[in-house]
Amino acid sequence: MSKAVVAQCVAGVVSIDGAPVANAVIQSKGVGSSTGFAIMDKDKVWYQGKTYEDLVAMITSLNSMITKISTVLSSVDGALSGSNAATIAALVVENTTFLASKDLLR
Amino acid sequence: MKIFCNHGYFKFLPTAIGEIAKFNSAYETDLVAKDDFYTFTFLQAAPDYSVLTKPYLGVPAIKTYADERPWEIMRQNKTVFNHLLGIVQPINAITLRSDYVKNQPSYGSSKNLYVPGSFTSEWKQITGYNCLFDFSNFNFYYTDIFYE
Repeated sequence: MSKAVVAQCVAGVVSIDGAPVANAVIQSKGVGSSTGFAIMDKDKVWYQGKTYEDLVAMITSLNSMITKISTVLSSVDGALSGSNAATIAALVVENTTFLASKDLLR
Repeated sequence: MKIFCNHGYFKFLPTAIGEIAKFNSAYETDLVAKDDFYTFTFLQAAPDYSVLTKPYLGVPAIKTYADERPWEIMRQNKTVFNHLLGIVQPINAITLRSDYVKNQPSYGSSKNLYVPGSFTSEWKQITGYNCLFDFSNFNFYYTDIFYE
């Protein structure tokens, strides 16, 4: 029967209870540091990192980018005719909703 | 009472009420219930996995291994429970001699519960055994002996 334990992965090295496990098969990308689960079955070990942390980081980063874009668009639109104000406002609202989604991950 | 020593892990199966208490009293042991058998208190909470270099029952593991059977983990890590000392030891650390002599035509018997890892007169290292304990004469009758 398989056993699931909390594990960590740093620089591609999986550790269980602080001890490195040489033959662990990393199911996720395993590049960035992560905490996840190791599935142990006899002498085989598989590691799966918690990927929601990647999603949170990505959402935060994209939100920052969109904020900058909407700021630039607002200044450019204001210098012309201002006819895109509604669209830019909608972009700002959508960006706020997008940022909030990081707290609603399943 | 039936006694099974499997790769240095002990299982006691009483055949009548009160046998565990009598055995504990006679030998000052601390047998406790686990699943459908009794074992030494030290072995009761044996984890179901070992990680290389981390202590498993007090001995640094030599293998990362997971199994719901603690005797399999002990086998992989080459450790046994020394009931005389009340600790788990690497099997290579056991240098005891047992008095096991297989009688003809029946079982080998002894007044002693063999320490797994101890050697027979032929210098075979015992890794496990099946045994019957007779309360009428306090003899251990070894029906099967397993070697390294």
